[in-house]
Amino acid sequence: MAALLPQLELVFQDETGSTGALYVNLTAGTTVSEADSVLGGFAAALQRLTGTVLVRTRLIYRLRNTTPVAAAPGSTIKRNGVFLIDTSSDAPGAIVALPAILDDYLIFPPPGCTTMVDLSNSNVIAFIDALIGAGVCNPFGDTATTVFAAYLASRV
Amino acid sequence: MALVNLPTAQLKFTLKDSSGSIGHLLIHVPYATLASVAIIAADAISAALALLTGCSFLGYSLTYAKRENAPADPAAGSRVEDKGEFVWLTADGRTTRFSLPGILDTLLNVDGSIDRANTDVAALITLVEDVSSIFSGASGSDIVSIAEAYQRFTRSTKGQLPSNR
Repeated sequence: MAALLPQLELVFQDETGSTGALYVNLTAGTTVSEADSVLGGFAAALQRLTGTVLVRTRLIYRLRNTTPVAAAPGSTIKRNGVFLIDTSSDAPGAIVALPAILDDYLIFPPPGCTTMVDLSNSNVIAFIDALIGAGVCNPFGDTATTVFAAYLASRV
Repeated sequence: MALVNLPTAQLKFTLKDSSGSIGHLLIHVPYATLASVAIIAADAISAALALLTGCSFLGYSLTYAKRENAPADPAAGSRVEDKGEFVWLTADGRTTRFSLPGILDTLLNVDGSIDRANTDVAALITLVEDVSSIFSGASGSDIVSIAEAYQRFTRSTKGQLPSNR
């Protein structure tokens, strides 16, 4: 993987409600805290020069695979493996959808039943372990504890 | 008025299928997760998902987002298409630039250049040029000085046109 420079995006909104963005590159290796320490002063300095108002910012790190393997013939992003994730409390769960899941990891049932993902497969277990190890959570920040179900879904 | 962190940071993995269509796998991690830690975890997820999908794995992004929780009203007549273009020189002899939407008319000279003697403009220039600044050009080279600053108009997109036109 090759890392691109971190990028800071500042989005401004005008009187009509339209938004426009300002992008600036940051030096390689800039941490979130370093970017945060500069963001306040930078945003304030920009705000004094514009009639628009700052509404949101994003700090984006991008990494690119420099040796991608060609897609398998017939693969389609519309065929998703959907993983349902439970959190540690009564908080909402999370969903992770993997495009173009391979048939090797599916359990095909009798007609009329849902096609499930084989959660006992070692590669599937490794994927789930990687998700949980990353601290995956729901959009509200509630940490996931386990994947309790996974199935095949068509996303058109 | 303050920029408030969203509860989570987002990891978005980009994949391409055999037809060339692009799809994504999106997960959330707590906002407090260090970027270095999230990237190590993302590398592990990338290796694992590559075994499960028929897509080509192109890369991923890690995004930390903030929102202004009480934005002020924009100035009357402000338009994002009316931009202040700032062009900078970098230490390796290249240039980089950014565009500020809705540049104030009070900062402009008659010919459309931005008045660099204005105290607010000078403050921005000083901040960006600062030796310890983290801003850089696309090559990673530090920004060292301002080269050009002027007003520029961009074409309105369909979404930016008045709805009652």
